[in-house]
Amino acid sequence: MYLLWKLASRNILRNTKRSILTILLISTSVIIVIFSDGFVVGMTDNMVKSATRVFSGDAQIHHPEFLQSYDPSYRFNLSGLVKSLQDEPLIAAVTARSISPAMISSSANIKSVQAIGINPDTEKHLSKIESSVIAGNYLTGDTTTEIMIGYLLAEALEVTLNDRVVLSIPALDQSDVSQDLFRVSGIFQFNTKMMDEGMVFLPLEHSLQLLGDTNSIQEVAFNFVNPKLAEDTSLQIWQKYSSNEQVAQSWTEIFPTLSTLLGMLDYTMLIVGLILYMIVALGVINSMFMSIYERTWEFGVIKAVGTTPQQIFQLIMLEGFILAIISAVIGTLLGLLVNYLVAINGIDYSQIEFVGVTIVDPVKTVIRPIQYSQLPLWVVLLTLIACLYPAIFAARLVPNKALHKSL
Amino acid sequence: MLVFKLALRNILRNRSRSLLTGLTMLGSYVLIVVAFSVQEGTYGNILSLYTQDNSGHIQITHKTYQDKPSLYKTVNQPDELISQLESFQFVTSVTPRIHSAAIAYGSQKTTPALLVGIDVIREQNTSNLANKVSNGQFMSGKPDSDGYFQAMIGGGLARQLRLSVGDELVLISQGADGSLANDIFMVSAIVGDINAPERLNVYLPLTGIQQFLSMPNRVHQLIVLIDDYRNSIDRTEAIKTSLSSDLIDAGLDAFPWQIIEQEFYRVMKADIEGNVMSQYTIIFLVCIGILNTILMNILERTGEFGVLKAIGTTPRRIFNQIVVEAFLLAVLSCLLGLIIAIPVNWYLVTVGMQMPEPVDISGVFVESIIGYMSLWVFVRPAMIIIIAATMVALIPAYRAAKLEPLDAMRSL
Amino acid sequence: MKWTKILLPMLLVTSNLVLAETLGIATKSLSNELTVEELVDRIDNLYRLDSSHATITMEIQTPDWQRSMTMEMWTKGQDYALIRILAPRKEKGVATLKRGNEMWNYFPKINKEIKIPPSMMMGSWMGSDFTNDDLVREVSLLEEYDAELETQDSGYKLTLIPKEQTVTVWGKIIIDIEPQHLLPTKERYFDEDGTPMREMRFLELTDFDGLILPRVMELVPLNKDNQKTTLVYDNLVFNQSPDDKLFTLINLKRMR
Repeated sequence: MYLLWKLASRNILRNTKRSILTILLISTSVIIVIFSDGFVVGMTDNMVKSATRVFSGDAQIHHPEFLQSYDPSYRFNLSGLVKSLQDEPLIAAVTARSISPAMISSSANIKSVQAIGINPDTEKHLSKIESSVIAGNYLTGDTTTEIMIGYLLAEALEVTLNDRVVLSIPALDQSDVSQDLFRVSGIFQFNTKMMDEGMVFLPLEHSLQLLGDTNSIQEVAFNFVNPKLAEDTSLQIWQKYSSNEQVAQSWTEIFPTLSTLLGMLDYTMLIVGLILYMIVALGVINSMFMSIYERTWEFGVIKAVGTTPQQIFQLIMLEGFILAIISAVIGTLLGLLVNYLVAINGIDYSQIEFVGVTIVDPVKTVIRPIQYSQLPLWVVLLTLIACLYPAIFAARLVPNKALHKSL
Repeated sequence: MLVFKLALRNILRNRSRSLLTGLTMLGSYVLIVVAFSVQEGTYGNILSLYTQDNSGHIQITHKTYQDKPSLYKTVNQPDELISQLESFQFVTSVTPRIHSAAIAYGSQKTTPALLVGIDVIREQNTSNLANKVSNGQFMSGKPDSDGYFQAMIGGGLARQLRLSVGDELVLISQGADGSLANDIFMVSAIVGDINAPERLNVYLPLTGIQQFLSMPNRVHQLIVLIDDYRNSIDRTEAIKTSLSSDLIDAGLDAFPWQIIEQEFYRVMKADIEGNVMSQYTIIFLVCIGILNTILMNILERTGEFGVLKAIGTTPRRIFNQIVVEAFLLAVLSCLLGLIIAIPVNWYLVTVGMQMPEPVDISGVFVESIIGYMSLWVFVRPAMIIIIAATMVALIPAYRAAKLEPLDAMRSL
Repeated sequence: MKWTKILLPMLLVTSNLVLAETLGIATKSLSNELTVEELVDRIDNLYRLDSSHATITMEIQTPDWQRSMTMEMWTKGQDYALIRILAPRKEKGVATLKRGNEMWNYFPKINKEIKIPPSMMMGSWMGSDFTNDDLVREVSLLEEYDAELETQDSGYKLTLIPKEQTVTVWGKIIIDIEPQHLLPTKERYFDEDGTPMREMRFLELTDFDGLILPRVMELVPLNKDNQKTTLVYDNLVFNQSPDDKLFTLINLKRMR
């Protein structure tokens, strides 16, 4: 066995140019695979984050009927829910919200909007409302007249900071419409039309007061410590916080369009990836065959002298193996380096809104363990498979025919 | 030409070597064709379904309707415009639509609803609406014996108002003349389910909604489908030029889906640009793959080239010879590759690859990844392979051309 | 567009009767002893209704369409009102019933009465510039605004500025009052920057059943082109003491 190793390594060194080329081929494919993985993961993470971490949250809890009609009468009791969620180790941020349809009027116009009552402190750890403020201030919870509106809404109502607006919300018991005076304390811009012209934010207590029920709310949103956790359907959390009156759902269920589109992207990428692998395999077979072909006469000689077909098979396989290992190591190191470098600045996609979501942060490649454990191994394995046929071919060479070939 | 004859002969001379290189090229070619086809096909499928059902390929509307839709911005007396549109060869179907909103009332609850007025016959020839009916039958365009028109309601609305097929739907809205629109419609079908994008829609026959909203012979949109949606921008220009006086006089304009669905289009383009990167990668890999054998090829024949140079072949000729060989081999590989690529692509286009789970796009379920058949799908990969092979051969060819005949002949 | 109940003409009409009674004689001019607070209070009390029965024509003009509607209206006290559309033919028989702060609409063509849910209260009433909420809500000028009175050539000018807590979008309301009958001739609504946004004009003082009242009321939003709502009282009588049964749902439907 040791002999075979020695022979294999010597053979590789013998024709350096070709060996280098083969190593180049295989390691490049490793680099590409690692980069694509890093990029795609970074991209989808980013998209998900843009969708969920701008406002909606990784997961939400609602009354089971609420999402159908957004009817605020479908509400549930808070009773310690927020605290309990905050204590969960997997959860990073929790906030409660009231959601109800409302009319907002200024001296110039009247528009229908969604009035969202938020707790300014817990909200800012979960969503990006605070950083979307372009004029005025984020909600402080200190004044009773503060309200934040989108810049498009401000234009439609012809108002600016500190102007009077009246918000009218139908009380939950259907008895009346509650109205209150507000002064525009902040204007925000999310670059999503629906939010910029259709949403207003006010302090939670105030909105619950207008709704006429300070004990129940329409929505609790929370983020996991790692956004990927939201896709894990096996977590206990989903069941723990669901009951007859409320149901906890991840964004994948609340925004199915995004989820399916990502799924489709995954699948297409998989196919293209397979095709790339196959092209690489072709190159490897090509290379191995070249090397065998060159040494046909040699094989003829050693076979004539008594080397068994198995030994020749093993020899070729070993050569392939060594090449593969070297390539894998080089490729992995370089691939991780590329991912690291790109991750510093990322690639900018912020001009594009996709299914209502704008990718705000530059897409950064992600380094993850699979990249340096599984992927290189797959490449080595595939290289070995690619070597099978050439190895068998070499093993089957008939000595006298082989000896006829002179180079 | 001598060069080509020699090239061909050289290729055939060493069968195994040529075969090896050629097979790599052939294999890469087929694979790239498949990759392109799948990429094109997937997007094409999504786009085709989506534009068919929603924006259409081209729309004729009031010129500011796209930015700020309003009940009052209408296309008046559309029939003539419709026949003019149908006279274009590339137009496959035209259907008018009306959009409005109303309060829908059922037993105890009221809820806002989105009204969509459709031409019952034309719509079925244009969009997939008929396939989305989950319960009941597609409505007829004529009022029943009591004078009531039919309506089709979305799954969400049906649930909210607890309405099923055969029930009465009450709609209240404001007409285009400011009057109070109120009427009863008979539910003939339920469209989609509670999660479908159409869940809050109410579809009404065109005459019914025109009566309801007091807008006789007026519509908001003319939805146009053409033979190949990829040409929408050019076809829109053609329509605008041909019908320019009719459109301008009536304050109308024509819009391709790329403008109507601007955001989606921009994302698609970005994605395609991303794909270009993967294409360059493929090219790179192919180059390296071929490099090995072509290099070997040339190195082996060092002695040969030495002799040729010795007897007077110019370096230029040697260079050309080698490059042409690589080129020719690539061309042959691609031609042979077509033999495999065409049936494979055909299979992809007609049958496609089944996805593990069907994907819901705009209410229609897509089950498989479909390929795309076009000349480009076959030509482009060929171009890639041929250019790659030729480029790979350049440097070794140059080196061979510069050989000193004496040194070269030593390796004989 | 929301505007406070002060402008509701239907109620303004009947309440002027009360003002006249309080002042003794309809033609008496304002005596100097009448303070600002009392004047504002009187304008507030213009809404202490008896009962009325009127025929009104409403004309609405918008950039996209123009309409004219004739309706018959009964009111009783503060809480009950019934309005029935007489013309145009398409809407004949459509009715609105107000009981307290609840409202219903009845549509004869589909034979359905529909309670207007709170979410629709901010919606426009019958397509006009009035909202459902306007018909229902009560505002006390005296309590919610600070008032200043000045004299001018054409009579008096009341400037009302909302108090800090008052729920309104207006920065200022200026009411021109003619001296002879103490009736508003013009009401202007300003935003907080002092830009006039709306104007209400009261024209053609006419003798109705012994009382002098404006026959025509025009509501003009100043920030929109080509938009105006005009109300003309064709007929008006008071104190007919209508039966309570008039203001019920059953009656609503019966009045086809």
